[in-house]
Amino acid sequence: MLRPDGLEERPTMPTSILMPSLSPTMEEGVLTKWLVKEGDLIKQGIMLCSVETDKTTVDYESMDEGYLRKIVVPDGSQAKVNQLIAVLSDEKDEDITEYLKKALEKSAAVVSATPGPSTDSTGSPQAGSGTGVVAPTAAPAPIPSPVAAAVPQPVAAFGSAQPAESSRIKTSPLARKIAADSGVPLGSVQGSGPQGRIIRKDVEGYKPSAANAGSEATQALFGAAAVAQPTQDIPLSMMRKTIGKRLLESSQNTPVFFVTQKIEVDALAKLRSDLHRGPGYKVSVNDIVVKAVAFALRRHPAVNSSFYGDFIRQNGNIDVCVAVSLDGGLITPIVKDADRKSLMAISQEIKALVAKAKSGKLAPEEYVGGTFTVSNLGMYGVDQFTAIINPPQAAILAVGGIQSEVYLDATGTPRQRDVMKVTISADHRVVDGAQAAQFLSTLKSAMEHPVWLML
Amino acid sequence: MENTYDILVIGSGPGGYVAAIKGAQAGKKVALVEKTELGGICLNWGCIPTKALLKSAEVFNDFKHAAQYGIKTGDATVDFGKVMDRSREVAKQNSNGVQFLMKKHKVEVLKGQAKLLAKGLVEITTAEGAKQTVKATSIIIATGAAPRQFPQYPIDGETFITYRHTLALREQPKKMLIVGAGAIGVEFAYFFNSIGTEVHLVEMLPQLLPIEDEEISKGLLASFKKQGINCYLGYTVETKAQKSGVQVKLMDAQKQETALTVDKVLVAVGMVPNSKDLGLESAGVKTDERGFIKVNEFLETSVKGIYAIGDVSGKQLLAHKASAEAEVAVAHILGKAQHGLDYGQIPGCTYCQPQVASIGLTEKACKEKNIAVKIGRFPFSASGKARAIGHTEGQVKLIFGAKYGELLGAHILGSEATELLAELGLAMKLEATFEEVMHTVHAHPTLSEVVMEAAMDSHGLSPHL
Repeated sequence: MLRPDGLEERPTMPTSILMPSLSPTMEEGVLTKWLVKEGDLIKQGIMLCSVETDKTTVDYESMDEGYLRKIVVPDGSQAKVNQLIAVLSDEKDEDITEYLKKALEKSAAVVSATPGPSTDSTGSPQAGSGTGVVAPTAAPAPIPSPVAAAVPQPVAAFGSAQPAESSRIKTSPLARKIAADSGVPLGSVQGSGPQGRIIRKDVEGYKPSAANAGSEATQALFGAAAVAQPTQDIPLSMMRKTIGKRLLESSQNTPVFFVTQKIEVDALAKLRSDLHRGPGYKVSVNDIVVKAVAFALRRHPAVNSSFYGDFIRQNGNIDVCVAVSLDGGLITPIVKDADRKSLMAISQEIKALVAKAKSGKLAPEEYVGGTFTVSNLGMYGVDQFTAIINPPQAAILAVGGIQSEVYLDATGTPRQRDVMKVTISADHRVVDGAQAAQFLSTLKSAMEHPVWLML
Repeated sequence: MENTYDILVIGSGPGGYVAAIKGAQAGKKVALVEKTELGGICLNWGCIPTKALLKSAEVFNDFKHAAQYGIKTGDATVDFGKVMDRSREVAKQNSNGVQFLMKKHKVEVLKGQAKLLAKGLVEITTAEGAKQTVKATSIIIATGAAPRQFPQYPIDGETFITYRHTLALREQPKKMLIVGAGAIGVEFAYFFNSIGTEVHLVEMLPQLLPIEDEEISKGLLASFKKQGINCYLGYTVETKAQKSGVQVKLMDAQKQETALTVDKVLVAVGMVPNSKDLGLESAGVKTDERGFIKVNEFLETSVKGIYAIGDVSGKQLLAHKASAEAEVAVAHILGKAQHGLDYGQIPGCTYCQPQVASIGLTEKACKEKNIAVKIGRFPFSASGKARAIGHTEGQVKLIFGAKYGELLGAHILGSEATELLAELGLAMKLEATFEEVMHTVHAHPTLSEVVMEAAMDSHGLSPHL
């Protein structure tokens, strides 16, 4: 929905408030208590209600302004993410009957479009998460008539929201433990037990499928250009707000400095092709970067630190966060104890974490914490960039793409080689320039002699 | 050539008759060939009639210990003939039950000896010598196994006997040598000792029930000794038949000899598959060097469309394994089989008192496979229910993987062990870990609490130890 921007003349219109997605795993919540009542004038930033998610209870802050005209989901009722919970209007006594009817129909589609094995997308927390506004592009498709017939009185469907069955993965306790331990995303494992129940051998035999995103990206590039796009004001999702808050805080409060290092990657490229031709396993450049970063962090513990105001914590574990871009932002799942894992294990774990992140199935312990972050934009062909530290971590590594260059060797003969540039952003309260440079030097050595990482 | 069937099953034991019913339930035209009684050894000469005998022994033992429960009885005595009659009657009822089931599921029962003429072609010869040839798209061989013959034990059905002769005895032996301390030997040892026969049980290997966990077998040995059974483990045996009884020479590893004279020798060592005279060669069905029919995961033999299940195809010679294989084979015939049986999850039970029941790996097997384990134990003596009923012998021993806590093996010695094992089979099948077993609320007071406590003990969490 377009919001009044002063440039466009349009009649005032009511606004829907939807159940927000308050965590990546949230599919529904219990609206424990309304903190405002019908008729109240709602201002941006006012707490609307308390919502209990699968993890915690959170107060839901209004992103919109207007009069609270109708509470659709009463205290103590369950509602799915994006289900209509209330309606605001600009004018106190504006007629909202027609709007409410339409909004309820839309919402009914959200509610009914759940279980069933193939309707995974409805659980996606990214779609219009926590906006508090119905944006036409993000709203569910117009309800097909069978759904409408199945829910003749949409209102009756509320309050009796079904449990989020679609999120339940049938799995044996043993399979679950092995999956958790080895980072296999249960959501992508094909179960061989009764009714697709995942058992031990399914997890142990799991092979992540090759990424097939390339063609989609191309399509998006050309497809998008063909369609004229209206100017629109996009409300902040919970994720955007969090990103904004944390990174603003970081860049305002951290005395950061940057050090860039050029790394020759010919040996690394050979290792990758050897691994691919030999054992048939494809490791990405980023997998090797993460492994090498862990290797270097173990030797430069000062860089593997966190800043807590009145003390510095030099972390014993090396938990490397890997920035993953999502539709609505980014998230940094953690490869825990990366220094103690094999390249293969790291590679598989990153694949699993990325898959989970993209489907919104990361558990908090999989993205909260970490001692160092790697952000890689190399796949977009960038030369180099700087990243903002993810506090309380003391540093972050920005990884650029691989470029070919001509250089003069020791004899003065021009030769060609492949290089990549990495840039560390370090918090000067914790790390000094020399330490950052030493860390990068170790990292460079490890990546230029990747056989070290095999030990 | 008159009769054509979708599935022809040869042998009506717990493998064969279950296969016949499963096929019929799927709408197939099924015939079942049996040369003697329906139900096979299990129902007629094995599992069931022996359980009837053992119950008589238990009842007698209860009478012997009645005073301890505050019950006065006169002198209880054993009427051996009636004990045996009851066992036969129980077997007969069960066999009739199978007959009823065949009728109910419209399985045609063909009496006689079956012989494969070629793939899909079977000749059946009745006891009277009448022959008929039938055609079948799929054939399931479920002919079982028979006691192995040894030259040093000339089975004559009089002094040298097998389990089968034993089940038909009319007179109680006074002194008996039982050769072999597997399930059959151990059960008969318990039975005859309980009713007053002097029992000498000899085993070449160094433990009772050699396939069971060593610790459990030791516990059983202690109990058997207390009950007065003479056990000779790690002994070899020589026998010499004489006019009055058999002279027996038992020799231990150090060549120390024990001599005794017995009136019966029950030979309970080894089984051989009933794979001869079936015409396997003419159909091209291959056997291994011991005569067991070679099968794949789905019990299909070297010839497509011919299956072999139960004892005749080897692995564990157990009735429930045969029934489970029947399901797999029929599912495969119907094109519905996803995977075969997990032979690491077949329970084994011995019905002496205290009972022995187990599933999965023994502690020794885990060691040999280099699997790191956590073991939980709980004695029946610490169970309130066991105390109340006066059966405090034995223990539950559960073996879990150290890393993930999955159940690798369960071993129970004690009262109702064979019934208590079921939940552990389910746990194993569902890939439960010690946590699920431990957090399943078990009713109090029951013997099953011992299982829960053992799971707790594997991680030092039992409140009652």
